[in-house]
Amino acid sequence: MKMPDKLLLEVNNLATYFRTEGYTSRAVDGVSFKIHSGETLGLVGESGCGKSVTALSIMRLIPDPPGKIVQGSILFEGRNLVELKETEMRTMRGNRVSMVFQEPMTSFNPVFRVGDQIAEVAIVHQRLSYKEAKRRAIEMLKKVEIPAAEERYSDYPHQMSGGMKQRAMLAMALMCNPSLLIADEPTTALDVTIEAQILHLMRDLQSELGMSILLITHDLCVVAEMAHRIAVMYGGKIVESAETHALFNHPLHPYTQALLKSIPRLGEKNRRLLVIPGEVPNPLAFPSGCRFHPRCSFATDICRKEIPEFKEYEKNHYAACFNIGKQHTAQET
Amino acid sequence: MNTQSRNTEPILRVEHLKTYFPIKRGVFRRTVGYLKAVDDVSFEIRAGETLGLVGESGCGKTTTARSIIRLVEPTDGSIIFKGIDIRSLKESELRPLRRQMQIIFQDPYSSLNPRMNVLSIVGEGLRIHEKLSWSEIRERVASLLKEVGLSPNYINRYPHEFSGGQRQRIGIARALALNPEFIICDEPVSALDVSIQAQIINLLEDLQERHNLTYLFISHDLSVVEHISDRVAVMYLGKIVETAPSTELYRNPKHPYTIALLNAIPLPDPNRKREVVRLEGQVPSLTAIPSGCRFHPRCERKTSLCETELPPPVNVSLNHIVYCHHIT
Repeated sequence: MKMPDKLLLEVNNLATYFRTEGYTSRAVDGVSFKIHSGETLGLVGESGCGKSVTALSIMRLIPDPPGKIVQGSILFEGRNLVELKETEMRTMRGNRVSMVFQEPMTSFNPVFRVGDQIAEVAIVHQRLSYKEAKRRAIEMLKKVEIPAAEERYSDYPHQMSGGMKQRAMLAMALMCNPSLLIADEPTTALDVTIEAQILHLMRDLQSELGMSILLITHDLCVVAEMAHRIAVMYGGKIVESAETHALFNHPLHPYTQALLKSIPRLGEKNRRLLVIPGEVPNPLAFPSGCRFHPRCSFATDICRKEIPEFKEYEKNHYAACFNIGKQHTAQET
Repeated sequence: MNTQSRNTEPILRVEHLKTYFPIKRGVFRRTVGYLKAVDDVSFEIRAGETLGLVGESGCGKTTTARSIIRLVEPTDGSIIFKGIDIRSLKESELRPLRRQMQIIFQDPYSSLNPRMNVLSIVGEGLRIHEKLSWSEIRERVASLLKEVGLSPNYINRYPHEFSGGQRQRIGIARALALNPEFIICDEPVSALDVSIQAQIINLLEDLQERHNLTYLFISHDLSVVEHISDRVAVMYLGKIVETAPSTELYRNPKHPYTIALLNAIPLPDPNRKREVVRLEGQVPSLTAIPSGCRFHPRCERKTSLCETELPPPVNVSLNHIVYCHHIT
């Protein structure tokens, strides 16, 4: 795997808050990461950790009100997306950056033909005629390995299976050859055998078209397979980021360590699973200090009071924790 | 889990279970065909054992579970629970048996009535089946909550006040209320966050040991099923294609579908290189089931025999049964 080096996306200290009567949800609270061209970054975390809001912020799809990007910058191909006007952003969305969503069932408009919805992207962004756009859409449907693409072009969304719809979503997202594809839980709603097909397809398309992928998922196994680098989110912040092998071989943050030991693995039947006590934090009321401290077995006084700095501990391996170096050993059985 | 009970009589024996749903069309709602959700499924579960049932969506695993406790009426076959054929019982005769068989559902958000508080949710079974006073019920519910790792102070709260993991614990407490022997766990961790799944899996294992429970554990997640089960049955399109002890199934899968399924699961290991066996195509519709072996349209081993003949069960080793014409 060659290491890509050209910087494509740089998110700096991004914060997106949602304000509702009397409450502020700090869904994304100071997130920074980079994506190089041709690279896949896996953004992993549990529900409410802010991974989807991060993606929607990059796409500038945060509903305002109640949501707002309150600080930070999103540099993409040399432009700061946070400062773009809506009309300018519209020329980027679906064109330079595009997105695939979790729910293939609800991502298409049910009353239009799938093929026409795909072709529309090229009509809007590349000003192609309907005929040319249709030809291009069929070409894309073939590229995502939909059998009998010409006939499938005229299908309505309900005539397609879940896996097929997710392929069509990919075709739509890749119509204009975007340099960044954001995939938000693209396989979560699919069966394992279909998931394997879609992941394989995404990898093939990436090596063919050369786009970068921001892969958002709760599933550590999916990022293990797909990502070059991984960023782990917890409570609106990135707590650890590293190259995939480094993250799996020697995770630094107690949350990452515990998470890896809490999932059942094939072939390790008699291992007792490590339990992370407590609940996933609520973005309306994040704990003080390090947001993981109420569930962390190494938490000390400083963790309760101060927010740990996100620092580089090894080459390209960053973490935010006061207790780096401690391992989950005593708890294991 | 429980080795001494391995050789005892099965607590549950399911024989040739069929559950068909009629497909109705036209003004007169005439039955034009059947959707064969479960089609001739047989297995047994011994006391204290966990049988895992895996398969992709629509393969009939949930319908099998619901047929066993007659939440849906089976079309044919017999379900023998502790020597009694459940299918021949009247509803009134079924009641006393119901307390010995409980179910935990997948979605902790829709399986708890939002208008009932924890006391009435967990205590409902006690109220119906046992003649207890309210204070006795309250006491029992409080101790059940403690047992599943919830504070007894939560007893007057309503479901919306809890997180997904806590709701699942309430569902487990409800299932335990009547001291059942057999619990069906229908995807009990699928809707939960990764860090919460381990809590629930460990809780289920602890409870099994403490109360000598028997589980039928349904999931689409092979890693979870392998972890918790003693034996695993793999379902495809309404039929069981392979059953084996869980380590054996993982180390030595025989049916091409099982092999493909094992191959398809992503593992938390970036060094793994996937083998090339990838399953093409999709699961056919249950209303248009392929003839012969149901897996043949997607199978690389298929011959003309597979297109016409149902594969017979083949015993490859102790407790390892495969339904395939071409076992290698």
